[in-house]
Amino acid sequence: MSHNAKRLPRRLQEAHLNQMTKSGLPPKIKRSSRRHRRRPRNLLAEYIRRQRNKIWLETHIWHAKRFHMIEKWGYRIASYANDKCFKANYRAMAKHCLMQDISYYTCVEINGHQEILKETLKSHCNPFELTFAAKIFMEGTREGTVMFFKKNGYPQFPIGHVHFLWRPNQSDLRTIWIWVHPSFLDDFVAEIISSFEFKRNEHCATTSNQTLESCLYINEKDCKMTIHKNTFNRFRFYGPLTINVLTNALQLPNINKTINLNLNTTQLDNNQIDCKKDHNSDKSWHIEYYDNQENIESLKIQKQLWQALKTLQSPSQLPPNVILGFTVLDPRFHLPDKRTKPRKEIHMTEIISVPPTNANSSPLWEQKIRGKVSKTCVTTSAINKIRSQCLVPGLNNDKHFNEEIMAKIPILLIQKPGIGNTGLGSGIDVILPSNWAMSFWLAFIFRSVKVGALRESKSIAFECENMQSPDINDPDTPAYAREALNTKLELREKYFHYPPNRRVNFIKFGITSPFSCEWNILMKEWANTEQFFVLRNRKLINLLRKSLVQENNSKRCNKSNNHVSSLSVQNAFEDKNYLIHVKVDIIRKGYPKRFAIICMPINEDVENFRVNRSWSGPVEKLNIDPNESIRKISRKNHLALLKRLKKQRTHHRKTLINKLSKMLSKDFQNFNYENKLKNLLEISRGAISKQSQKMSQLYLPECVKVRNSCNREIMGYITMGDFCFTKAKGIGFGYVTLNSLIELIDKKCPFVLIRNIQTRQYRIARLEVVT
Amino acid sequence: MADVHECSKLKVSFPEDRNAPTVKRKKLLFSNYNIRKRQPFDTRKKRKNKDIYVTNKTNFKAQLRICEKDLNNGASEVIIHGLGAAVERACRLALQLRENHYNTIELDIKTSTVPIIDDLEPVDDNADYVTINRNNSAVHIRVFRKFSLGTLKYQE
Repeated sequence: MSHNAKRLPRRLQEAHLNQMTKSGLPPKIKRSSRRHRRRPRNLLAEYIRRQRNKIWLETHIWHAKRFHMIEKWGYRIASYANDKCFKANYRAMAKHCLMQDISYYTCVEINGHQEILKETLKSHCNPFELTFAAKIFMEGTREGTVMFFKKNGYPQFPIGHVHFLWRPNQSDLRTIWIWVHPSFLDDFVAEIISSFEFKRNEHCATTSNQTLESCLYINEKDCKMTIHKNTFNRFRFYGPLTINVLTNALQLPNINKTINLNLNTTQLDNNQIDCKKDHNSDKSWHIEYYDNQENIESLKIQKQLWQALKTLQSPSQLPPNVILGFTVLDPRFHLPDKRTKPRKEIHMTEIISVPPTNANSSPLWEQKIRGKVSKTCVTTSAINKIRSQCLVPGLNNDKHFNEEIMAKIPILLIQKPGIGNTGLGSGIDVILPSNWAMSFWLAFIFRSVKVGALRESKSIAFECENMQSPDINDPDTPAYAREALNTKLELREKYFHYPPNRRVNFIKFGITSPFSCEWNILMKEWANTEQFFVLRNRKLINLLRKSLVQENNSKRCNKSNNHVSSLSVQNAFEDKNYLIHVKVDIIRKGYPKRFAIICMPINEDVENFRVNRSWSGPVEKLNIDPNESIRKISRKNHLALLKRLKKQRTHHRKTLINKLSKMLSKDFQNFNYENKLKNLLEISRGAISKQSQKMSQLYLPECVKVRNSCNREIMGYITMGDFCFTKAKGIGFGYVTLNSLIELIDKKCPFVLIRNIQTRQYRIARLEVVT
Repeated sequence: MADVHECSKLKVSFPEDRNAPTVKRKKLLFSNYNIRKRQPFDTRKKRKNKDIYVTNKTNFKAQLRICEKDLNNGASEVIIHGLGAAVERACRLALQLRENHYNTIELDIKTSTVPIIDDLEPVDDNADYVTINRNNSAVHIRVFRKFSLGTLKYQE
């Protein structure tokens, strides 16, 4: 009988339902109709339910329709686009414009006395390089990127790269914004709290609903810290067309005029739209703000700058890392009819060689103004409604299309320099107040921007060889350890989903750690300590790089000179437990992948390389897998055991039935039998799980040795590698141990060997130390 | 062949109020700075698929092949751009093209001056950015067909 009563004839349905309820089965709850579910109120309730244990970005729904979403760092983030094209994103980045929503970066705001801030933050940096307190950043004209360490931790205990910017035009009480990647936000905040001795301010939660996400901390020295989650949106643009897109989509208001007209308009427009009336005071924040002479000065400069910006061809023509503040109009009023690509004829270029003074001040820094701006975001439908009342639709000169109605939004633009004079990878970050993300996003989409997601962050950093990016964590950071553990478990699970004859036998290939990089073991075998750190001293890195280059060009260099440098390389280091960040580029064939091993060539390889031009690497011999026979026997035994257990079960069931018929009266005995049956079932289940554990242990035994696990000695691992579109060959980034690198320099070997985990073929590659 | 020298139209609207721009390149200690180059301020009109930018790194034969492919596919003209050290290469490329086509193509040469800005990023905390403004010469060679003969060219 069906559970669905409606499958029965009408006359029987009632009786059937009665029977069903009697037997204790509740009638199934019907899923409400799509029409009901899609009603705005129900839909909103559903969205709120789904956001309960994670944060959605403001562009979430737009992304969720087009992208593969993953849960990461407490957010639901777009991972990659559903269209199958991968190279299109690179093309957009190199020649057109690629946009990313990176609002998941959290802004940590710290206020306080300049000296205190400088001192405390400086102790978290590498003292031999640019720090938070560098002169070039203090004026607030440029954004900086530094590696954040634990307090006085350098050269150990790094946490991750952070971006930061100082608020301009302040006297002694300064404000700094630090933009932190969510993968190490907790570590970062914990460090800051302990070093500033911050205490949580209790009554911040009661202030209002808006500051629900941003919590306030204070300490005795009058420093304040606010963590702004969801108060800003940050979009990242790459590519030469970025400038065109931005200048086309955003328009500057004519504020001077509005200030003069201010008095008239408020009286004239009394019959203005009702929905906007109540926001009027909030909406005119700019009138108050631009009353100040200083602000008007900066506004003038910004206006001039905007015109100059229009003439540029690429964001790489701006000063590197420059911050520019603007106030723009609501972009929804300037949408094109169709999705169009902005073009322009360049007749003249205005050169902005140094960041102009006063161009970076922005009302975005003021919390009150931010709040007002976020509140005044009217819905698109309201705007459309107003403008639909016009007689002639679609014109830019109707009475509702004036600047008093349009909201003014303060934004910040931050330039990101690219590489070389081609400007590849250069871009602009746009920082917006909350609530405005979607209207800006759509305005940019209408300018034919390609949208990238999480995957693109990494691939762009890889293409541009930008290792200062917060998306890439060094192996000695806690964020890397967490990520590595996750990927290891994920890949392991995937591996065991394959049938046994489709699994790569890594033991035969001599790969001991296929799904992770065992830095601890590697370091122990090379330097006798488990602890390891990535070398970040610029001088030492340069020394290593020079000696490597000399050794590569040993034909041209004097031998005596070479000898001296390699000696100093050995003496220069006190500790030997360093990992060196290296780049490999493949000389002939192949490309490196994640977890590939970097190996030291032997003399035979060097000879082969010298003699044979088309030789592209040796082949690893097929190792013997000692577990193979054990696995076979164990599998056989296991199957036999399962069969036996099954037989026992059927036997018991039969006897149970027989005995039941015999002794109908003796009920208590059959109870016993059923128990036994259950036990048998449990035994077989336990055996299965134990067997699968044992087999996985036999397939992927725990890694105990790395250095001498295959024919060639292992120096390190590749952490990121692929075919590089900019170089048109295989490129990889990885880390090698210091001792192995010194040995390589001593050997004067011109190349290293790279082997992916799924192959026995080594490939030859050139090694280069990365700064 | 007409040789025209054009200086790109430029305006420096934000006067540099700091003492930075007068620094001579040779006086700086380059180990204290990281050089970040900006894209050259080239103001010439860009047309799609017609412009070929010559670099010293790309294989010469490959560049030749790219030009020939464009010419053989019915394009009436190709513009070869060379900047700085690549000027020599651009000229060689154009001449080689003409030779391969038995002098049936013409060259129209223009030279120009392109302003370039290098930013020197300091390595330590107390130094400031230094910008070096310099100019570099560039050549723009318009390669076009005199007659529209099919693919009359030297086959490799």
